[in-house]
Amino acid sequence: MSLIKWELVKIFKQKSLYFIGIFLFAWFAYVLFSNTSGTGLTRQVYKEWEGPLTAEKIDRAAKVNEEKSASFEQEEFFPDERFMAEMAVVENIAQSQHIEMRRDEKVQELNSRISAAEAKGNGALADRLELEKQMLNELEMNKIAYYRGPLESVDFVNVFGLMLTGALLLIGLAGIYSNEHSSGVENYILSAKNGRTATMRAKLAAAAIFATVVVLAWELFNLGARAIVYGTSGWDLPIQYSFKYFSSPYSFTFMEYHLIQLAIHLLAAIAFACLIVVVSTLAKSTVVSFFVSGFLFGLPILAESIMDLNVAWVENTLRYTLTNIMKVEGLFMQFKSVSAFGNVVMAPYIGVAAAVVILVLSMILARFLIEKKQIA
Amino acid sequence: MRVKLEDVTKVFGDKRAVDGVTTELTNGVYGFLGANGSGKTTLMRMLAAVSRPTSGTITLNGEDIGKMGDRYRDMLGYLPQHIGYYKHFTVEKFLAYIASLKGLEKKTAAVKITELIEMVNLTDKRKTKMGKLSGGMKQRVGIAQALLNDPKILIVDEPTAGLDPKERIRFRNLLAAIAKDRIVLLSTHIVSDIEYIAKEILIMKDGRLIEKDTPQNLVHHIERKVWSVNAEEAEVPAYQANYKVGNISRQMDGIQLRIISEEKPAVNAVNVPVNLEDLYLYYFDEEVGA
Ligand SMILES: Nc1ncnc2c1ncn2[C@@H]1O[C@H](COP(=O)(O)OP(=O)(O)OP(=O)(O)O)[C@@H](O)[C@H]1O
Ligand SMILES: [Mg+2]
Repeated sequence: MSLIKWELVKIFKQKSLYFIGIFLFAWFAYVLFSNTSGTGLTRQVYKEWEGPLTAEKIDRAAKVNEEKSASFEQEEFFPDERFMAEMAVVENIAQSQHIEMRRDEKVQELNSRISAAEAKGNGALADRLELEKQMLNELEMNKIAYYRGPLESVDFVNVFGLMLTGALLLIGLAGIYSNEHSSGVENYILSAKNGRTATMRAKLAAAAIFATVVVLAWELFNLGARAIVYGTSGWDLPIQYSFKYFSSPYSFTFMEYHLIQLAIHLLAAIAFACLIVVVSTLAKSTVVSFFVSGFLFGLPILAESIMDLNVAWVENTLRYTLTNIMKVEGLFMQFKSVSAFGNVVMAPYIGVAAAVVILVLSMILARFLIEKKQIA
Repeated sequence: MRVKLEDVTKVFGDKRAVDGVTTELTNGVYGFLGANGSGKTTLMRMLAAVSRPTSGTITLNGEDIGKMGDRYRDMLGYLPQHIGYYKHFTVEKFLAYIASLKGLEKKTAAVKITELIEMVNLTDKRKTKMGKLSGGMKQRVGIAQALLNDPKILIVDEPTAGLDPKERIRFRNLLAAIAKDRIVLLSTHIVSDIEYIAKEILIMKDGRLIEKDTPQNLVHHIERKVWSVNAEEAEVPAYQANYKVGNISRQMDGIQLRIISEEKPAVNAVNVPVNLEDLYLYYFDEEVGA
């Protein structure tokens, strides 16, 4: 058996992983399935409106919206479920038009800011604003469909997905080296031919594989459970339908965005897994390793709750911490960018670069540590 | 094969656990004696490449073992003083893992594992979980793992601790059989483990290597210093306070004491043949007032 297989065996043999994993999945399943009343009817109503948003459809929706709103003026009006569902759809269509309007306003605003920046000779800023403008111009809210499935799937990543990745990586990997220390197997590892560099390489690879399995496992749950509850429509709508992303300049469909989101989350998760390996190599016990890595994971969240987020550098730094890169949303909700060497670099690229840097540094550090490692 | 230690020192804080050891090891068994805390384990760890000297060098055939890295560790078999293991691995699986660490081919490993399990007499425990083995059985698995890669340098730290007398003899014979073309360094507190198989005996005291010689020569040093004395029961405490007293046995006509002393401890004392136990006592019994 190769060393990687042995490392995987050791990781997956940990029972606590399954206790916590099953508990978390059960909880999420409960939250999901206990919150689905009325979805059938809503889906049906959306079906009636589904498709491209033609001018005719938009007008019709506006009229229906007016009528329905007027109904509320009547005394003793008790809307039924169908009424509410229809209301939701037409409001949704109105909202899509509102987003386009806001986009146009924003473009106007950007135009004047670009002129101002150019007047001041701030070419770098002008370039950034110009890019944002171009991106906004490509945005189109030209479709409607029932999209609760994709909406919640996308939101799953930054809350439950983050929790699952964080918890399972910590439980699964905190002991990856420190357990060798406490079991005494370290003696054989460090004195064996393939015990140092090769074993560390195997541990890092196993950690990366484990992170991938964890992310794929919850994603399977995420997609599967939601397809059952909400169906599979809406993945081709723009992400601006999600309230969180309504001012995002990125013109992605839910499908495109979700794939990008997963890729970035996975990359950051692998980087975090390798960071846990480093901490575990330094720690004298698995408990210490667990809490140190857990602290590193929680630090950005903690910092956000105690520091003033209106301070630009705090916000900008925290955005590129591993935890927030794993959340992904902070990279896409607004247009964020920096100028570097005459180019405009957008937040997602910085996020990816930051994760890669942490990943590479962790790997180099892990290798260095294992080569120097001594039994005291 | 020649392992050379030059002024090897290991310092922990202000404790010099190993203090300027200079010596040379060639093929054959070296018995390593020393009281608790004298620095045996610390020195063996440095030889096993799991720890590095604070100062001084260890070389194999002239090459620094730290610089040799994988190549040195490839020749190494190490049994630590406290055997480590995974509770949930069976004996066979545990050995397969160590074989992987040592870079053995799968097929070679399988053959070697069967052979060694048999050698340490654990064939019927092959599928038993490590956590369920007795202390002595674990120790035997430890011995087996050290031999997996047919090491040219075998470092075993108190390998016989916890073994029953039968297994101890078995182990001793095993070592004697394989020691011809390799360096074996074996630490122990049980002198009989090495009395007949050691080419040389190394004696550590307070981190220093104070003796390194053949058993015959070492015994020869204290040739006329071991005495047998017959005493009354009431005299025993006085002897114990003033001399290094070894065996005390009750005879028909009183108590017989084995005493290590430069001078004749009593008029009725007679010199007796020296063994390595006496040597141990000679170097390590500290509780003597004189
Ligand atoms: N990691 C450490 N930190 C501090 N002191 C240490 C450390 N390891 C060993 N020592 C000290 O170094 C000295 C030598 O210890 P070592 O374990 O090498 O002795 P030993 O000869 O193997 O003893 P024993 O017969 O009990 O196994 C002891 O005083 C011990 O307390
Ligand atoms: Mg020791």
